[in-house]
Amino acid sequence: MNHPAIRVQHLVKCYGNQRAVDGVSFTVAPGEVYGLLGPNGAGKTTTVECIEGLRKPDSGLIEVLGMSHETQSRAIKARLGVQLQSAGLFPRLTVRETIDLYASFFPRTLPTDQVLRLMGLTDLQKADPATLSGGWRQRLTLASALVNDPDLIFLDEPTTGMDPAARRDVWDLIRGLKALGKTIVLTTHYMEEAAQLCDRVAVIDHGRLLAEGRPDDLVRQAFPETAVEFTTPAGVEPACLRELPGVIRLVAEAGTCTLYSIRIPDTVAGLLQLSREASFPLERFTVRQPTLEDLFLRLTGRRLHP
Amino acid sequence: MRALIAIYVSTARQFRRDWMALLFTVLLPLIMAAFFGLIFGTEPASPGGVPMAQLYVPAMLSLGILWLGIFGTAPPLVQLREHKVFRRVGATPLPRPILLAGQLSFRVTTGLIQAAILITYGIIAYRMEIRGSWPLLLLVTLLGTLLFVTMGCLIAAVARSGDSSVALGQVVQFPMMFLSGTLFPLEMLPGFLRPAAAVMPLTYLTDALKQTMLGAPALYPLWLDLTVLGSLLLLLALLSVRLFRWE
Repeated sequence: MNHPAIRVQHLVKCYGNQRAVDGVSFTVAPGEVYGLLGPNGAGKTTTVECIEGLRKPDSGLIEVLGMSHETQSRAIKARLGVQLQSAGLFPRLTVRETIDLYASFFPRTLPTDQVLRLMGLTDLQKADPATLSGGWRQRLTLASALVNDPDLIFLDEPTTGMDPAARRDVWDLIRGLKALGKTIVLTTHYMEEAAQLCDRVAVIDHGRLLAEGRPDDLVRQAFPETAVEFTTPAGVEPACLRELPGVIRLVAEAGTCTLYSIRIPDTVAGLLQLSREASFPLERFTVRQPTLEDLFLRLTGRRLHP
Repeated sequence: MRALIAIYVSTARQFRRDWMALLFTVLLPLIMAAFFGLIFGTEPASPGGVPMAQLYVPAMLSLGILWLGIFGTAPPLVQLREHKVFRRVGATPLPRPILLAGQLSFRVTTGLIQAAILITYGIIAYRMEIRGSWPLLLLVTLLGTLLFVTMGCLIAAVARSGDSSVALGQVVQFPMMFLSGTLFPLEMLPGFLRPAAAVMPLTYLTDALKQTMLGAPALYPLWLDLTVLGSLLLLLALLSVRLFRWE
């Protein structure tokens, strides 16, 4: 393949007079795992729906697997795998019946047994999805996205609501798909998930793409500093913490105060002294390297995963 | 075509596992036909007339078809929308109207199964004979089922949730059940309520079924019943196409 898996240029989509997607451009290479990060309502779902051919963009260009939805929508969709978070399942059909039915919608498919085995669902093939736990239902939605052996897979928050063990299992499944050479576009709330799985991520908010790149690079470029974090003390004006030595920036949000410092020893010493003098407690006090979460906080002023 | 068959078969499985649909479309009409048969007896009211018990066979078929459309169609379609099945299928090569067509075509054939069950019951329990016309009976059953399944589709289009589709269905079915000569003969209604029958779509289906199944005395000529049912079908189909939302 000498064309990108996805090429989006200046995508605009409005609902009424609100611009849900406001001039987004990015390119995803074949075999890449690409993450779209953003809070609910940021425009990532609309962006994905435009690429999947479910919505018509108001303006801009979208090329999927070298084709355009305007002329070859069915050919594109035959090679897409779409997973919706715990949704898209027919009520009252068993696991196997669900896979078989979805398979009938595609011209070329994998054998149902192979799809079931790939997702570890063989023993549950006769189960009613409504009786399965969230994690297993999520696997079924993932299985339903693989029936056509797709080249390009969209995953919608694939591990939301899972316990850590199930989450790690699904991460392994996704790595397995990447090893098969699939291109994967992933939306997620979990920064760790993005950092673990994605070759590149895009941060989206208010319909705009705020940053794009390899997760490590993005964080390193954005933060030469270290983060000091603690529960915002009652009765303390956060602004006075900004005056501590070494602090270059302060974010007080959702009950947590984060100081970004370029001279950690000075900042921590100053903070401890202030805490003693003004006798306020330092609860949940941590010093850590910035993560994608910090990047997101800086770019949007909000926490991604409250 | 392969997809349409798969959807039809899957819809049959879903329907078989849906107790509310089974109760309203198959069990209740049969139970009620037996119940009214017991109350009104198998003797003709006048010599040579049609026994009351037999008249309840087409009447309960009519009611069963109404329920097939309202309780057997609207809530499951709303459920497909709520479970984002229509959205998900929109990202496959299958055109979404084919999914809907497969779901609806199964329900239309279910009308024929209801007719077979009730007629068999009538023949065994009441020694009923088809004194009307088999081909016309088939036509009326199909047209009636199409009409009420389309009505269910329209309810699904308007309702915001599964619960509200059931509530809306109740509002629609309640007056029709009582004021159409289906549950009770129109002669039993007080005079001032009788004209309401003329605006109930179910009146025309019940009337047409009674005529074509039993050759029973009719309210309207068959051509008028068929014209009303057909025009209403066209109107509701147009409205459904306009108002139906995939998401």
